[in-house]
Parts: sequence; C-alpha cells; structure tokens
Amino acid sequence: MEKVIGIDLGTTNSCVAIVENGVPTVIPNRGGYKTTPSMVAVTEAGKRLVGHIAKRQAITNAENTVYAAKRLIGRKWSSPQVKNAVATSSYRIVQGPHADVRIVLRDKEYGVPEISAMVLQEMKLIAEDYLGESVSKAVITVPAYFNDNQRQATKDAGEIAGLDVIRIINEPTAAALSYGYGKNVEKTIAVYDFGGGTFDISILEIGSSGVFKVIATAGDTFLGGEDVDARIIDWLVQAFKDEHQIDLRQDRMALQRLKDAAEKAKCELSSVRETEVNLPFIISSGRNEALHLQRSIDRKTIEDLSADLIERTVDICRQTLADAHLEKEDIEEVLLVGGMTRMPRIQQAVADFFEREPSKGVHPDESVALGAGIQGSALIDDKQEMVLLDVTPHALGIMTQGGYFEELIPQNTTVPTHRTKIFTTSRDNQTAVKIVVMQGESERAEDNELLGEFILTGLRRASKGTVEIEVTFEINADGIVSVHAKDLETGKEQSIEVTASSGLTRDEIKNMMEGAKDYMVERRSTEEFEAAKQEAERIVGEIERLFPQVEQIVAASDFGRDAIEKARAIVAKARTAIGKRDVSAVKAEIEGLSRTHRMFKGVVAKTH
Amino acid sequence: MTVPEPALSPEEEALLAESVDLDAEMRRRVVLMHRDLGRVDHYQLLGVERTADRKELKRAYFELASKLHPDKYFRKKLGSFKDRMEEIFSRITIAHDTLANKDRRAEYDTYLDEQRRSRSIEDLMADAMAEVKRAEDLAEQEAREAEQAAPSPVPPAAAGPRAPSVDVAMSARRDALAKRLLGGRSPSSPSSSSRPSRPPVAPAQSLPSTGEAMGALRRRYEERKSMAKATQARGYVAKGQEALAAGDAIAAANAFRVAISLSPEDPELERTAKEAQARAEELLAETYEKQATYEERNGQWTEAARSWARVCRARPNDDNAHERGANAIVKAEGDLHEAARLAQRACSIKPQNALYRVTLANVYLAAGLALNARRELETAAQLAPQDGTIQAMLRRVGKSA
Repeated sequence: MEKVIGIDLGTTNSCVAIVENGVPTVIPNRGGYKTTPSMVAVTEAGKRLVGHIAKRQAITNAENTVYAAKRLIGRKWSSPQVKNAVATSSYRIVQGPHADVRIVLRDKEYGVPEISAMVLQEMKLIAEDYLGESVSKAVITVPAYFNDNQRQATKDAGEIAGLDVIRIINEPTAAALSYGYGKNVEKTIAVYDFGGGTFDISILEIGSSGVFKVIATAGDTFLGGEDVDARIIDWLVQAFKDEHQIDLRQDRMALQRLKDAAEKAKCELSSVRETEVNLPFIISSGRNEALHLQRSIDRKTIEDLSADLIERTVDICRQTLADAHLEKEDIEEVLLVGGMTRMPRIQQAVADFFEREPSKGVHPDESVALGAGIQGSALIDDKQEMVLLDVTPHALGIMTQGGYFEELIPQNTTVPTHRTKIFTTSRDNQTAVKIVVMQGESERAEDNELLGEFILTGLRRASKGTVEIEVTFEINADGIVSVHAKDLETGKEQSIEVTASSGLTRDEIKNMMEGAKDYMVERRSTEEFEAAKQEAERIVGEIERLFPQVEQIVAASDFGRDAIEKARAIVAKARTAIGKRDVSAVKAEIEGLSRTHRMFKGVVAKTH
Repeated sequence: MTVPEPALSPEEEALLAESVDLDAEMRRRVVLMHRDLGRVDHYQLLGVERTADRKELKRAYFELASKLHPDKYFRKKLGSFKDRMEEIFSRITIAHDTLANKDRRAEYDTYLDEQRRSRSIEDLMADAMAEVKRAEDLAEQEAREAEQAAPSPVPPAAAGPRAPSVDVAMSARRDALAKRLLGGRSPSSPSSSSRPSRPPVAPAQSLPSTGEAMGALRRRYEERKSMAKATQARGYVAKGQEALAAGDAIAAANAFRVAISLSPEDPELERTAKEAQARAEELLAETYEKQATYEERNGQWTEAARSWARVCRARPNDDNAHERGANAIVKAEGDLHEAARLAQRACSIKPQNALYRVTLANVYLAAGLALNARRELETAAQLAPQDGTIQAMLRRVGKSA
C-alpha cells in the first residue's frame, strides 16, 4: 500500500508524520529536529536554503529570507493583512499579475504558493530520507478558518512540490484525531489552537465507530504568536527610541535581529519569569558610534502586552460555544495546540474560560502533523476504522442585486453537502447569466471573500424569467467548493466548475512545478556528488596516510615504483574529477582508489 | 435504520447489478435507505426511538456515518451509488443535527406531532365519508330486515327495478317475482296493514300490472329506509352534540356530517353540521399553520407552500396565510399562478398593506411580469412612502423593465 505523509505546514514551523504499522510517528529531519522552520532563503550565490539553515542566516540575509509566508498565502494584494505584512516584513512583497501577492528574492519574483512549496518539498525530502523510498501522497493541514482561496493555494503549493494532496484538513481537527486515535472514547472536546500565525477553536465529538465529528469551528487567520512578537518588538523599539531617538525599524537587519530576539524572549518567558534581550551593535548612532540594545523583560510585561490578543481568543471561544448551542460543562476535554499555548497566561485563560484544566495528552507542536498522517492512512487503508466528519468554516453563497450576500450553505454545515438553487434570466433575450460565488458571514457581499464568478452562456433567447438554470453548490469532503450549472430547459449540463483561486494560473503552477522538479534534480545530484566526493576524499586521505610507509617498503623495486606512480595518478585524477564536480567521474575513480587503498594496506600488513 | 420492508422492486433490484466497489449487502442497504428517504422521519431514519437521548442518537448516527461517509470509499468506484450515498449521508446528518439540539428537537417533535395530528384529523374526516356509506347501508339493511320480518320478503334484488332492463329474461323473472309477491300468494296478506303509512294493497287485487306492483314495492321499501335513516340521523345528532359538549370538534363534525347525509332536508341540522365542519377545518388549519411555520424556518419551501394552501382552504379570509402561502410558492419555485392568486387574495382582504403588494410584486417578478410588478410596487410605495426596500426594488424593476 502506498504511503501517505501528513504535513503540518505551519506559519513558523512545519512538521511531517506518517502512520507506520498503525503507529503515528513524527519524522525527524536530518538535524534530528522534529520540526523544521518554515523559512526559505536565497543566498547571494543563488542557492536556495530551507529550514534551519535558512533561519541561521536570516539576520545577515534578512531581505532574502522569507518567514511566515503562510500569512500571505491565498490572499489578495488589496487585503489589509497583506498591507500589514508589506509594512512589517524584512523581505520584499509586491503585487502579482492577478491581484495576488509575490515575494521578491534576489530580483526574482515568487508566488506565495511557490515559497510554501519549497517548505513542503523539504518536508517531503525529510520523509523520503527516513522511509528510504519516494513519497507522493500527502495530507496537508490548514487553519480551520482558512477560506477556500487559502485552501486552494495550499493545495497548489503541494502540487508544485510534486505532491498529490489527497486531502486538506483543519489543524485543530488533526490535533483531535491524534488525541482520539485508537482510544475508543466518546467525548465532546474543544481544541484551542494558538499557533504562530493563526488562532482556531474547534469543538468536536469523538464517538464510537471511530467517528470524529466537528460541531463548530471558528478562528482568526491573522492572530498568532507573530503578533505577540510584534508587540514585543514595538516595546523594544519604543524603549530604544526613547533612549536614543533612533528608530530601529529603519534598518532591516536590526529589525530581523529584533524579531529573533523577541521570539526567543517570548519562548523563554514561558519557563522563566524574567529574561534579557541583548543585542550588541544593533545600530550605529550616526556619529560613528555603535549602540547596543540591552533590556530585561519579565513575564508580566509580555502578558500585559498580549492581554488583548488573549482576550480575543477567549471571545472567539465564547462565540463558538454559543454557535454550537453548547454550554461550558458540555465540553469534556480541552486540548491545547500550537506553540503559543506554552505561555502560562494562555493556559490559565483557557482553564478559566472552560472551567477545566486543559489536557496534557497532545504535543502542541506535533499533534497536528500526526493527525494529518492518521487521516492520510485512514483514507488509503480500508482496514482503518476512522471517519472524519468536518464542517465548512464559512457560509457559502452568491451575490445578489444591490450587492447583498445570499447564503446558500450556512457556516458549520457538515461536509460533503450540496444545495441547489434555480436562477432565471432577468432580461429579455438574455443569453448569458453571471453568477458570483462568495464565502463569508457578512450580509454585504463586498465584505466577503470572492471565490469566483462564472458566466453561463448559450441560453435560449426568450422573454425574461422564462429560462431556468439550476445551479448546484457543492462542498466536497475536502472542504473545497465547486459550482455546477445546468440549463433546465435543455437538460444540458454545462460543466462549468468554479473552484477557488490561489492567485496562480494553471500555466504558472505548471512552470513552478517544472522549476521545483529541476531544483530536485539539481539537489539530488548535488547530494549525490557530495556523497561521492566525501567517499573519494576519505579514501584519498587513507592512501596519503599510507604513502610514506608504502614508499619505504616498495621503492626498491621497479614494480613498486610503478605502483606508486599509478597510485599518484589515480589520486590526481580523483582530485580533478572532484574539482570539476563531475559525479560520474568521481564515482568511477572511487573503485580505483579503493583498489589502491587495499593494495597499500596489504603491503603494509605483509611487512609488519 | 428502519426499513419498512426489505423487499426491492425489480427496478431497484436492477440497480444492484451496477459494478461498483461495494459489496452486495452494502449496495442493497444503500438502495433501500435511499428509497425510503422520503417516507421516514428523522427518528426512523436513524433507527432510534422517539425517546432516544443524545448519546443514543449520536451512536446511531456515528454508526451510519462510519459506513456511509464518502471517505470510507476514498477514490473508489461508486458509480451512481456515490450520489445516493451522499444524499443519505446528508439526510442522516440533518436528522442527527436536528435531534441533537434540544430546542430544534423540541420544535421538530412538535412539528411531527402536528403532522400526525393533521393526518389523524384527515383520516377521521375520511372516516366520516365511510361512516356515511356505512350508515346508509345500515338503513337499507334495516329496511330490508323490516320487509323480511313482513310476510313478503324483499330479496336483495329489490333495487333492480330502478334500472329498467331490456333484458327479456330479466324482465320475465321480474314479472314472475311480482306475481309471486302480490298475486300469486296470499294477496290479502295483513302484513301491509301493520304499516299505516303504506297505501292500501287494494290495487293489487285488481289485476295489478307488474310496473305498479314494483312501484308500490319500491315505495314501501324506500319509506322503511327513510325511517331507518331518520332514526339513525337522530342517533348521530345526539352523538355530535355529545362530542361538541366534550370539545371534540372533529368527532362532532363527523357525526353531523353523517347525520346530514342521512337526513338532508333538515335546515337546522345543516347549519349545525356546517358550523361543526368549519370548527374542524379550523383545527386542521391551526395544525397546518404550525407546520408551515416550522417548514418556513427550515427552508422547506415546497412543504410550507403545501401547508399554507391547506390553511387558506379553511380560512378564506386569512390575509396573512394567503400572503405567506404566495411567498412560499415563490421560494419553492412552484406554481406562480397559484401564488399570484393567493397574493391577490391577501391584497384584496387588506388593500392597505404594503407588504402584501411587495409579495405580489415578487410573484410577478418571478413570473417575469415586470410591468405588473412595477404597478404593485408603486401602490406599495404610496402605502409606505418611507420604505427604502420598496424604493430599491422599484429602481431595480425600473432598470430591467
């Protein structure tokens, strides 16, 4: 059976997992870490870096290092969140050709899904290294409150990375899966997921027969640990300004160092009560004098700085319970997911709100990827007794005359689901109708997310109101929306399907896939070369170590001198091949080198 | 899940033949469940008792969902079963979600009760028709028995003469019968004398023709029958009054209805019967109104339109019911002529109501009659000059007209 990996594509960190022999396991990366920073950089030499190596060089290469790309994925250039990111990011964000967002690295523009694809590709590689075989199928998680455009963009990212994304699932749901998997419990649980970039709350029922049913879900896709970091940065910048009258934000490198320091301080303050932010030589004073930033920050300060953010999450929890028609006492377990939930103040706020201590049963960083892996295996493996009944986080509808939003499928409807509506023409001899599909909760169409619009053509010419078109709105088990239209008169099904847009065209996605493939080929060959080179150099080292001894022993004979010459020639040839970065040549020399090495060892051994 | 009868029709059996990645048992189960979707209520669909608690509901739903969710057959070949399964899944989800919510379940239970109530009222009313038939049969039987008690038994074929037959054999038989009845045997039978209302049998003695004899026979029989009917009618009137006193409007209406059919020439009785009928219809209307309101709230517009139509039938002067009925038809994409009729009626009951005009205008718009719609909207605008919605609609119509 084909293996399916589960990927938690996080705002700050990503994680990959798989179910092996019924056991969900997180796959560590080469460095041994279970999570990998969702960072991508391009070096001056044009080399792509992903993960820890990208993070390590972020300060010195701030402009060409992308972090938190997830906050931009599937968003429109005009959205306030993008405006905000443009103002605060150290990398350059520009408008794309389809009102979408592009990121500039070393003068080259990248689509946001393309950047996310680089992270996904890295996760895929981590899994392949671990499994020793190639992997093509994946389940990827997204924040529950992601809209369809964001989901589609994530799917596109997977495709670019060469993955068959068999399902997109919600992060809190995934966490619940990893909590309830194989437990055979019947419980109503709440998952409070406060991650790097997004906040989600989901309420689920776990039942017998391996069913997980989401009852309600809500959240904020622009509320996360990054916002807490931003508060700390503001606080540091302001204090520095008060002291030196210098705005550190003007300097991208200083800003990147601040960002790192803020995140570090935030994490430390979850376990200690006070910590020091120490950034020597942060900026020059202008009078050629280096200034240092040194400040202590305590837990109380960071709690005060983020109090309103925490309050916002609690408000969303309250609203979600009300939407689900549930009381606090109906919740039998509360799970905490996401790095932010390590903050003691947040744990307290959640415990206070639900009047119950949150469960320690799930790992805040790993449970989402594990859940994705579990869902992947349940889909592929018939023997798995598990079904996830998820809901649509946003209402689906159409724009009606006057700019109003007409809801067709309400929020929190269990998917798959479909609704049908009949439209008629509104003008005489009208041969086409335009249907604008939207997602959101606002009565005003413009406040909702445009998913797409389509024009149904080829209608019979007739007086208005006589031609009827049946339009079916469908949300499949993936949570992805499609709309089909049928001319009732002719019964002809016009196979028009509107799917959300990631901001990329099919051609662009195809090109990016090619690019990603090329990168993989290059990367694989680089890795192959590096491995061959290491092996060759190791043997050369051994040979050179034995040279003086062997020379002493065999120099007397012509045969010996000849052998030494030959050995020298082989070493030289290997060195040339390495110099030319020629993999096959290096590989070809390895055999000769090994033979020489064996011969040298034999000579030495015989003599002693 | 409750499956009334596990037998499949030949067409349904044929569906099982489709080559899909489902075992035979599952295929049968899906076809059966899908077939019964329209006839079962939420409880029956989930296969639980009406008293089931949340846990039982959840278990039943989860059990079904774990078998029927499309993910169970991820990337498998399901053919036409895919749509069927998704529809079943969608329905069991609605059933569970409705019943799992305390308020919505209470509403649904009331709705089911109302549905049952209206069905039983209708059954009772239908029973009244059967009762009328039964009462008439009974009256006939009594008349017959009275004849039989007399020396000249009337055979069941007595009703025969009413249909003059050209059949010679038949007519010969009838003649023979008449002779036997009137002349052939003891013509001076005292039987008739016991009945003062009967005309003297004398003519029979003067060589009666078969026609006359049959006529007399029929008259006597009819008389007996009508007497039996009158007696029965009195019984039904008493029953009706009893039911009225007990507050059972349906039983009363039924009893009076039978009474009036037994005794059609009684104006007093006719009035009572009409009143009782109206009261029963009103009861029916009340339960349909509750059903319609529930259906409206749940977006079941086709059902709501049907329920409102029933309300309107009982209450020809209920403007609100007519307006909402019209609205439901438009929403359900139903018969717009009927919708227009209902909306027009609402407007004529309350000509000053702007909202009713708007509804009528909506009906016209749905029918593509922009000019009519415009006229109604203009009237509405005069009635409610401050209403922004009407103005907006007028502008819209103005544009498309």
